[in-house]
Amino acid sequence: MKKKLLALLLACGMVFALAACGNDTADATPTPDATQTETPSTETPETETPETPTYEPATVRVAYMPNLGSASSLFTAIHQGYFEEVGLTVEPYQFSGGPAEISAMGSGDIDISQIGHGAHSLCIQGQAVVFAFDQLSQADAVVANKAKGIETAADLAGKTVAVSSGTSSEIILQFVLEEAGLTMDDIETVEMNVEGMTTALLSGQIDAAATWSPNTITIEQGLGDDYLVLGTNNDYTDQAAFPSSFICTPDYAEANQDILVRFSQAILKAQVYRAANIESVAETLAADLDAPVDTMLQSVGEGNWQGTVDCMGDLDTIRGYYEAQQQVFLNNGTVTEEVPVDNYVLFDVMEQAYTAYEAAQ
Amino acid sequence: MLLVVLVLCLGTAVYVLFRRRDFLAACFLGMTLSASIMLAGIIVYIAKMGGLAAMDRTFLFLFPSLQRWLQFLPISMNLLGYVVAVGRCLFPMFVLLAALDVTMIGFVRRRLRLFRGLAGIIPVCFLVYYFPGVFRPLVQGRFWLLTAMLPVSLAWIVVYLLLALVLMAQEYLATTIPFFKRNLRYVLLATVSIAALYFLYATKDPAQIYNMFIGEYIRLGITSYISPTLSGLGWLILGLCTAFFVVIGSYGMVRYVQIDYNEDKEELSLQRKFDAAGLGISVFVHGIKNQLLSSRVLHKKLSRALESDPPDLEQVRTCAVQLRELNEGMLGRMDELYRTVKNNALTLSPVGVDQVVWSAIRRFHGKYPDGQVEVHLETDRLVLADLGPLSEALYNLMTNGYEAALQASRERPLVEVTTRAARMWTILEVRDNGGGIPEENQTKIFDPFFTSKNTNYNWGMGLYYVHRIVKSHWGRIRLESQVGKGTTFFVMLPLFDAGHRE
Repeated sequence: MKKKLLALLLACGMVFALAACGNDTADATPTPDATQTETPSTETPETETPETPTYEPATVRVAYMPNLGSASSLFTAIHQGYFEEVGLTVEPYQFSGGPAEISAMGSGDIDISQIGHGAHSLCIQGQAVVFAFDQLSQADAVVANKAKGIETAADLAGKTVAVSSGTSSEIILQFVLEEAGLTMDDIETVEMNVEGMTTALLSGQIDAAATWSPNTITIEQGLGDDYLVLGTNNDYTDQAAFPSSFICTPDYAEANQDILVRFSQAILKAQVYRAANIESVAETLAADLDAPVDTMLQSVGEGNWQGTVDCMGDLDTIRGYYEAQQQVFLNNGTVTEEVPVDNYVLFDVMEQAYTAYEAAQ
Repeated sequence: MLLVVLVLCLGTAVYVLFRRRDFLAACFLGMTLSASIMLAGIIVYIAKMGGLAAMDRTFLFLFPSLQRWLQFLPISMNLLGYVVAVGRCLFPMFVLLAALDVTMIGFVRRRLRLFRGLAGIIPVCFLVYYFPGVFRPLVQGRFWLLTAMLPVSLAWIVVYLLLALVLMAQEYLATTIPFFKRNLRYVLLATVSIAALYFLYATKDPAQIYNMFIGEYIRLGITSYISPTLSGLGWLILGLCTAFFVVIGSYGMVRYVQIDYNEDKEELSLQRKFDAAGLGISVFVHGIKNQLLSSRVLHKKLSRALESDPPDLEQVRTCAVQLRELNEGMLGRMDELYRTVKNNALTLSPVGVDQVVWSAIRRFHGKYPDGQVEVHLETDRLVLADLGPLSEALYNLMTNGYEAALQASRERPLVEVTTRAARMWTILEVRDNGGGIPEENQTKIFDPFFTSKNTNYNWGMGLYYVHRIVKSHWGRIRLESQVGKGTTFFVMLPLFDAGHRE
């Protein structure tokens, strides 16, 4: 029965998606159903019990990365049925990193991406827009193999360090080097995907890596006493913020604002659930991602889950995160000109989603 | 499955090279190898990056565990990107080299080395451009260069592939010999299907693997390798087609080489048979003995006629005539045998192929004044030949054909001689409406002393002689025969002047 319903939703979603693709301008406004039910409910949330809203079914293809920070809110919303509640069918697609997600989004293969800090530079440059804040990441780390003669960050000079360009771990590496009085030119960088650098570090092919959870845990287990952490996001909270977000292309946002609001609403609900049940979320996610449960459980500290819940609806705080984040990009030259945050962060969607979420509670 | 297809293609290409050991086979291997390298690199990249393309797990990786293994493979993106770039740059070059090798266009053939050299220049330039040590500093901060180079790097690939396709298709259309045409068709199909598989990913730029400028790729609208290129069914069809055509194409190429291979083997075996000559001597002795016995009978008759009183002059005259005929016949066959076994020193000079035909027909009419010969001269090309022996060989084929038609009691025994120009060959075709040659005999007819006729009057040296003469002209002889319908012999002589226009 459930499968049939899902199939029906999927079919309707496809019809909707086709209609949306074929006639961008005509269907750009949210569907009457959704607006009619949402608007009055926000105005009189206390006095009247709102009727169960009905939604135009839609299917969204969402990109995520296989770690707790990126996939937890998405999969929680799927498993808890929060997307179904708002009439959405979500197809999750796994990617290795943010740049790959954005590239797939650019070619129209997916609709929405969960990205880490690094890929936000593309949003600042106008390639994509942020419509939901997910969490402040604590997952990145620059780790080294002590057996290669590295005791401090200064020892990285002349060493081979694997990096995945455009990710937040690269920025942590820049911070670590800067603190030690070094630059990227003082080290030998090797461009690798994060899983590749895990193997390379464990097999001694490289000396250090700018990586992230849960690979950090695999490396720690593999290197044992030789495992050395030279810096994580937490070491630089005074200098930078590393928000991760849900993003989409400007065109998609324009044509599907209603879907974005519904999607964000479900994500907000999932974020509350996640903060309260992070361990069970980790266990479920391990099964979803076919990853070891132990590794996933050990990485429950990679995000500030409660922090996300605390700043819900507090758009000024969230704006502050994105401003601090842009400063990081300005400082390291990734972005050359300051761009108003409102240009690429859809605070209106965030506000509507929060209102709808509150109303549903 | 893609991996299986690639391994299959590679295996076949190595086999073809092993069998052919020539430039075309090397190009074929180069083509398969470079396409495989590129696709393997992309498979690794997809395994590492994930995304929608990675959803086709069974097609790309066969087992999920293989994807995981590839994902964790400690290979740098620079290396991976360059591997893909190498495959992408070399494939069109090998296709074009193969096409240059196949084509018989005089203008190209005369400047083959020059064209081969030219075909290599652009790929080498792009291999330098994509080398990470050059590419990164070159493009970093100069994205206009990337924008300019993207269409150029695709354009030359398209031009190379189209050029190769045109050359091969032109050669295919111009080939008239059924055997060669069939093989070329296989080679063409194999090339086209590998090229289709290659082109699916060749439109995407390998530099994206270096992970420098995803934003620029989106702006330029260039699709990523991790985007799904074909539906599952599309992949399945293309994969199966490629595997099928590559195997068939390889079979065609190996068969093509077997002409040479078989001819060498044939030559060896003929030589061996003739050297051993046991059979030959026995046929010779048998023939001579029969003739001598006939001669003894005639001598006895002659003695008896002389001993009678008065001598039977009529009988003496008859015996003398018979003895002369017997003697002439023996001398003729001795000459034929001697001519066959002695070292033929041919004096080759350019002669019109029509001259050869008319000379052979004159000889034929000397033996069969009423024999019907239809002549179709479709070319006036020159061939490098010794007119005497070559027309003798052709005459041999004509008399064989005519006698076969007589033997089959055809209402209208007929021999047709056709001359045709077929690319690098000038062809002399002799067709008869005789009884045909059974398949089991087709491999033996060029053997010395093989004959289906009375050995008293035929020692089976005719076709062996024809074969030797044709070989001495650097030519080839092939036959197609259907029992009950007739036989066609193709004498293929190399083109004397490649620049000679029809």
